[in-house]
Amino acid sequence: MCCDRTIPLLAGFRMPPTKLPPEHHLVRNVPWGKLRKDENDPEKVIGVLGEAFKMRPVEQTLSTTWLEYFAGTRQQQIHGAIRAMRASSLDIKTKSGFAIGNVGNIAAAAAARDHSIRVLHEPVEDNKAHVAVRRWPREDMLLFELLAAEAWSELVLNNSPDIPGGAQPAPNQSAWSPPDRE
Amino acid sequence: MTSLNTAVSNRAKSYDPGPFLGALPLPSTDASVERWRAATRTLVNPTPSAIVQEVPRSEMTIAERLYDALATFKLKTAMLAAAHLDRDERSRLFKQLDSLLDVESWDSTDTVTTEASFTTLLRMVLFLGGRRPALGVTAIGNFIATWTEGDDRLTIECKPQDHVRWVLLQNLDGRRETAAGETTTKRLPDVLRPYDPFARWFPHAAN
Repeated sequence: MCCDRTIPLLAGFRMPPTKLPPEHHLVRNVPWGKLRKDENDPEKVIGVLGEAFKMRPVEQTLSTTWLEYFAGTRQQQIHGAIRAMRASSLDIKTKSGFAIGNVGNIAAAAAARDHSIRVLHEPVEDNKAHVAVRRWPREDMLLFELLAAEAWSELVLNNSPDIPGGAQPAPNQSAWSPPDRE
Repeated sequence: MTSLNTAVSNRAKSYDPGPFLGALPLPSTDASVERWRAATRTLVNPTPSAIVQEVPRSEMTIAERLYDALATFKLKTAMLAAAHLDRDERSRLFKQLDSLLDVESWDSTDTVTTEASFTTLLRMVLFLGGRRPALGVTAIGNFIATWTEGDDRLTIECKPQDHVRWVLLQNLDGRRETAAGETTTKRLPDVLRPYDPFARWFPHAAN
């Protein structure tokens, strides 16, 4: 054969973004003002406000981080995701939190409110584990509150003694690969 | 016929108080005359450094804006709610505001909460009575009031002009019931009445 049949990728060519499997998880930074507090103790966090899942005016998609991108046990994956977010351009404050939700449950909750979302791995310069949730509604207070109460209610606080300090950018490669590439 | 004196005063000219200046004694020595003139010149033609200039909001740091907002909210509370909130309740509210608007915790991408939203929050809290809510903020400068009872939660966003957006999640015989809407603070008890939140959250607003 005279020619190599492999077509070299052109500069700038991008692989289509990976769609996250429904059993995987998303992590979203929740600032202090969007954490649900105890009525009698403003420093005691009891959950997440639906407002945490509302896109900020500057966001075009809902920005999150992919938990299974990181290697190790679930606890190690959570540490990896938090350290990667701390290393990104996000303004992570000491008292902020991180909400963790299952992709399938989030998509089902959105579908029940007639939103057909797409959860795509779209790495960005400062966070290779970045996930963009597309077709996310700008306004749906009931959906956001339901997510905060159920599908996206697992919360880890940034100042929790169980979470090691420090920041470390996400690795260039995901620890997870799709079944057909294994 | 009376004519109006429309002549513009000449600000460059020193002010001459004339022979009588209220009840103040007139200067008696040359030195005191000079001190008096200098003081009058400063009052009539102030130097730029003598004028207190308000810093444009866009040039203020986030810490300055949060400080100003906190001061405004506390002043507003003293003005509107002094007769309705006792000392402990005021102190509790101020603690919530201090915690929420702490510069070390504030998300720099958020708009600082507005006085218009705080006024709605305060009026709503006074109107509803009962349990005082926990507080949160939106990215666009509104306060959020929350009440939580186990898995049941009532969340109200306070918008300007007494407008509120509310979401209620509650369990009824093991089944999740949800409701949401937009109304005014005055109509809130009526709008929420089917969900019977009064026994738990606003016992004084039912009547």
